Amino acid sequence: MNLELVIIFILFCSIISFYRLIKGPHPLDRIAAVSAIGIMLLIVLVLLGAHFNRALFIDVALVYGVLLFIDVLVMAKYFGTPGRREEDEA
Amino acid sequence: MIHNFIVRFFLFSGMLFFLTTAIALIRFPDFYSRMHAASKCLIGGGISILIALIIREGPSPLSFRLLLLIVFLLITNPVVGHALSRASYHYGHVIKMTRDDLHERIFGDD
Repeated sequence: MNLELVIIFILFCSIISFYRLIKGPHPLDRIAAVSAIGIMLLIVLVLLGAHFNRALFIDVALVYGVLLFIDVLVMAKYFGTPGRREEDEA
Repeated sequence: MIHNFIVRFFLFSGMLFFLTTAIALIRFPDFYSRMHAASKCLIGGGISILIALIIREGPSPLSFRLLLLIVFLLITNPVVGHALSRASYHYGHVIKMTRDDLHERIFGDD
């Protein structure tokens, strides 16, 4: 099966969305791009596990998914406070 | 033969979903439309590729873990999408909407 093709294509997609990470006018755009790239790399990790027939990669991907989820929530909470805008403009 | 075909189909649709996510992240004008596209297509791609791996794997403890990963992705990604959009709205990043009920409750004006 051509798993390598799928892996290379998903890495290509994450490089494209890396552009939004750099350009994002607002830090929240960057967080959205990080979340997108994170889940793409999670799927790449699972595909690598399937490619090398290592069952361990799926567990690593699970833990990585949990950490990514918590991380993005904390970042959203930090940027979500209403007072943040005045502080940044000041 | 059919087994191979199904796996190829799901892998291809997963790749397509990820391509739309990448393009959506670049092309869309403001934050909410980007989040709108990214959060859905991301999960569409992820789940279809995981389903392809499950079908390829057949019934085994490994495919159970893949199923667990699918359920996990299904649960967490809407929450992330909601948290980011809410954070962006509370931050004050408001775009022109035809109808916006939340505005006066959050910013307490008009």
